[in-house]
Amino acid sequence: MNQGAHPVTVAGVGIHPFGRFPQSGPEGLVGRAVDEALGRAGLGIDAIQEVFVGNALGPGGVAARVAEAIGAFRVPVNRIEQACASGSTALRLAADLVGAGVRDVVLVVGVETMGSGLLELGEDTSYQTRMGLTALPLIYGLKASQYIEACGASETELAEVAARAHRRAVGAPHARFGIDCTAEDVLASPMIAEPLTRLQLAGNADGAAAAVITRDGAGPRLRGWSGAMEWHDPAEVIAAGWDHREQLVEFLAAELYERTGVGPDDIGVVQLNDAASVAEPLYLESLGFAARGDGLRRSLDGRGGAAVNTDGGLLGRGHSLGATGLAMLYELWLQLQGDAGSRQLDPRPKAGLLHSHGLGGDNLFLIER
Amino acid sequence: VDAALATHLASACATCGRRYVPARPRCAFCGSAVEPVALAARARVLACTRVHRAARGALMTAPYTVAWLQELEQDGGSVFLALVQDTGAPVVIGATVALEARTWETGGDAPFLGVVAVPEAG
Repeated sequence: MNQGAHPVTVAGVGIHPFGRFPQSGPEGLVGRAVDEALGRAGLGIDAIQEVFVGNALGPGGVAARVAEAIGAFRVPVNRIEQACASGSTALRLAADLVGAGVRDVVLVVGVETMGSGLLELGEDTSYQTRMGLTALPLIYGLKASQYIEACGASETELAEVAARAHRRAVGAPHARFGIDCTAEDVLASPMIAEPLTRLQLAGNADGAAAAVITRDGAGPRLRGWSGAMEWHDPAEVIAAGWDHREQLVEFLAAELYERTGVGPDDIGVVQLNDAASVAEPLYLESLGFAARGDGLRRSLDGRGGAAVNTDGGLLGRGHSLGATGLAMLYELWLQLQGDAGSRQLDPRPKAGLLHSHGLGGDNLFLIER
Repeated sequence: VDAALATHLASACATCGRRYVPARPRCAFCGSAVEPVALAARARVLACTRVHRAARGALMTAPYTVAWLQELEQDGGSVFLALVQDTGAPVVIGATVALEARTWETGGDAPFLGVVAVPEAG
């Protein structure tokens, strides 16, 4: 079963390693990722019929600068901005076009130059910003406080989740924050939003990633995808009691599993949006990999079921808004193709799940070989 | 802050009755018009965190505390995020706080109006 009328293939993926590249604009990072993706797909840039560029923080006209940098002329080039989900939303739109038969070959590029310090989405004079309510780590601090209260978790256990993510990234050449650290090291890093310390929050990274999406080609297929903006139904929230559930992700996962007939037990590897330590157990629960309240045990146990964020995820790889969703696809693709080097899972997974979260919305993708 | 000014901080949907803090231009659930209402006097803490790095544009300097709150209203109040006044007392989940309207001088034409939660003793 395909989501559209036509099978959608991820013919090739590529990445520019995540790091700090203050001298490079987006156009300086995309070439390496695009060349690698086209090479894996066995295609040239002239085969590309449309380009989507996921980018959140770049200047106006960034899509044109990217197009010029990669030599994509006389085709539509579109910039997609949805904060941290910019790249995954670009991927979803490309999959929609190819699945519908509108295009045969689409290039998706995610790129970001982030700078340092707190992740900020631009200055504004909104009520929330003036009242100090928009520092993004505080949202995860709030969720962590809820999770600890509701599930009896400890701060040390949450720190251990982060330490494991950083250690997983040690084996990933494209990751920025591969650190051989312990929970004690994590707790000793500077406090940002209690109870979360700096090593429990995804650090900024400059980077780029790319994917070539083709109609019915060779390579892993996108079996299904699902995306929506956050919905807030105050009545439902109040009736249920505002707690640690990620309701939109639960909704999207249930929809995707029902549509594809694939469930969590069929998935060998997952990339989830661990922008903070507490996000991993929360999303393991909402994606159906752990029972409600059991996500932390699943994170720390780590045996059986899908492997999580094999390249360190956002915590270990670093967070590069527009590039993050495509970097997730990159790692899943390598794992499915048996090309992940020292990180390669054995047995090689047949199916992977991508979960991307951005300000206001989430995207899920099921990829199979 | 007088009661009339404080009504700028909360709104309720004229159709479905859902409440919002801060006030919204339309109902987020049904899209209907909203009307200003009085802020609830008290709220319950659903989650809290102490922020050690403030974002650009904030009127306060770190560290400061914020909390997810639910207005204590007979028919169910708004769930919203608010600044918590530092009183030296710990802010814990399940505690009740008083809601107050405060103003800040920003150098503009009018002071900035916001909601502050004040922990209740005991």
